[in-house]
Amino acid sequence: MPAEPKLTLEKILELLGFPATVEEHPVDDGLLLDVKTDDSGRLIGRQGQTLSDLQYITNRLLFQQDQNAPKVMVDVSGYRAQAREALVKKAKDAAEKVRRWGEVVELEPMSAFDRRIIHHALKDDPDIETQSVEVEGTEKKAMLLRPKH
Amino acid sequence: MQAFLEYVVKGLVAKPEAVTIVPVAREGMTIYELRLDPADVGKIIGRQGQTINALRSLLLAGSAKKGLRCSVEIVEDRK
Repeated sequence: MPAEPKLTLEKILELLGFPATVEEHPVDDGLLLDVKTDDSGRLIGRQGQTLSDLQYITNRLLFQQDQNAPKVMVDVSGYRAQAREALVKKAKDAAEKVRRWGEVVELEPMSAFDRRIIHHALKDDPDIETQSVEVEGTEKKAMLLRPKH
Repeated sequence: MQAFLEYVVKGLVAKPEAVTIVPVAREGMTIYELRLDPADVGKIIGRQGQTINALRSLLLAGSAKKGLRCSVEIVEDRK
């Protein structure tokens, strides 16, 4: 049975009591499901935590429907798109600092998802290389930006 | 909220027919007692509790919208 990303997410939202419309958008690395609802703040949660949980549960269900189902990204009213833009800007600013001073810049600990965005934003930068390092006391890793030699 | 829990849990387990959910009122909250096939328990808990915690987070968000609080606990009956 092929996975039904849009129907599955719509069903979850309906049962949770969030009347919503879901739009499917193909993106480079899969499918983006954008949710429009009148109570978006509650669905996003603190620092996007509820949204992450929603995305995780949706992907678990889709995987169960079809083991080859591509991963979906779930967004609410462009929240992730905005967060992504802010991360890309942070990456570019930090890269500029590295270029100017020639020193390593360390970003705060972030999720793998966010680090991936930073890494992608800088992968074509000829002057900068990135590395993730463990940080004590947290599950998250911090990214180091250093000059390429 | 029970319908949400039932839809997701039955969608994740190998034996949906073994899933039962009983709501229990406790300290102003509704706790859904979830019973499932022993082989499916790990699937609902998830790696480092990720799945059960995501379920709890979504239950909280959905019930808060209605001015309620609810959560879920897995019950393993001793044979």
